[in-house]
Amino acid sequence: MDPYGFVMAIIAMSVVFSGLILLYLTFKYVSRLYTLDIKKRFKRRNPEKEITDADIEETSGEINAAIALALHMYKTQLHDMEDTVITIQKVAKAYSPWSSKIYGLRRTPK
Amino acid sequence: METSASFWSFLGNHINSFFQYTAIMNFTVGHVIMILIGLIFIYLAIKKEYEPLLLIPIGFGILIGNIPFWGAEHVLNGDPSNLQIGIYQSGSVMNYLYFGVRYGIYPPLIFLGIGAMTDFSALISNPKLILIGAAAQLGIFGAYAAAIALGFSPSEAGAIGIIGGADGPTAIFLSSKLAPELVGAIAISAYSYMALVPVIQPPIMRLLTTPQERLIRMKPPRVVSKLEKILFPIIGLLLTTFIVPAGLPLLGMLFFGNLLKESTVTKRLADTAKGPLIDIVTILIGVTVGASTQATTFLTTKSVGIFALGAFSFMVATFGGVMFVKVINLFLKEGNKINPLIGNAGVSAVPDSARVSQIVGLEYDKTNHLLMHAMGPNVAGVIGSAVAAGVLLSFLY
Repeated sequence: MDPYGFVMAIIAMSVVFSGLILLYLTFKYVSRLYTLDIKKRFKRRNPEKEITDADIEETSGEINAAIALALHMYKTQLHDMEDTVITIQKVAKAYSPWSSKIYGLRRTPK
Repeated sequence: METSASFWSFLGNHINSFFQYTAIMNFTVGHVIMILIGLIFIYLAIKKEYEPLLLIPIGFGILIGNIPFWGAEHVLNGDPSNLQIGIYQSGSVMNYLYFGVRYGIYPPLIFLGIGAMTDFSALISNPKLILIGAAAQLGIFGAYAAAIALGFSPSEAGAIGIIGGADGPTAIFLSSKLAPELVGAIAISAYSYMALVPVIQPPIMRLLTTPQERLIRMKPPRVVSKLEKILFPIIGLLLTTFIVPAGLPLLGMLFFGNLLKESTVTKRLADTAKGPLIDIVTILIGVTVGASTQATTFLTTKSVGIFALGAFSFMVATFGGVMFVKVINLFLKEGNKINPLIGNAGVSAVPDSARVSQIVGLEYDKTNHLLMHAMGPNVAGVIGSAVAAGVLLSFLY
């Protein structure tokens, strides 16, 4: 019936395609669902609450530059806040009877 | 005097008997050829860094599998001549390890790790790239038809065709079901050509594209939300396995691994799946597949045919991916067009074929980075080849 396997190859390729087309269509349309901005839609229904362009205060380039400079200076100065107190670290030795001097042989027994 | 003679005769007999068991007394030209192939694999892995994580275990496995020994043909349990050494001899350690290949246990575990390390964002942000992953499966079915024409049985042709999916675990999984006697040759062929993706694909990509097409700039992918990433493995599993349930072992584990990663609440499990687990299984699958290539079973005319068809399938797969992009570009608006240099990435050799797209793209435009775009069809290729394996299994098993 299918000596060269062409029919089987075409059917199999169609199945692979249909599976992945389904995945493509799902993600094409479902992505719209979960990227839906409900707040925006809600605002459209209530136009009186919509924020007009006049309400939005435009920030000038100078202000942006000043903010950027302030942030930059703050970040570059951060590392200068270092502990300047120099201390000598004391090394505390834990007591152990094995190294205790009181049990030394030079101690004269009574 | 008599005691001394019998001692020397005893010693002579035992030394002779010992020599009969050595590799020196049992080797054939076939063993030498296979050992040389193993050494070439190790050389390519270390010197050229072609897929070292696969070629080192496989190459060394070939050495292990081709150390000649007496009684290799005695494989049955209970046979006193079965020394339980070789991979095909019941009761040997290698035979136990090979169980995972023979019954298709290792490939789904590898898919679990692949799922846990794969980021599907590029695909979710531009879903039409999924279709490139489907188009590149043309290599599988092209090789299937060619194998039938060359006289292979339909089951063998299906197992050989899957090499075109450029996916080692899928090839092992399908061939273990459809043509268990060809697992070694098919796996070696698949992994060899996967390592040679940077050599095979670029000339075909250049041949099929025009200078203008190579310069197409694609829109940067949009940011994908966490919810989308979580939904992808769940929806992906339900849609693909409802159509092709035979692909469940591979697709189930792939999407499960991805959910472990994307849910972000099972970090420990995802880390294990993409780290220690996949490493252990890669070692076992590599070394046992390599060892299964014993000269007596591997060096046949069928193996030569499998290697030729493997190369053919990779070429057809690359052709299918690139040409598909060119065709859909005819229907896309200016600005939405896809660079056909990412068409090759529809095969599932992750991330090598995507890297090839990036390298070839940069040759023509130093500022056009295609890697992120190519990762879309590349991960779609993993899904596509697993679906194709499921389809072949349903038709031919």
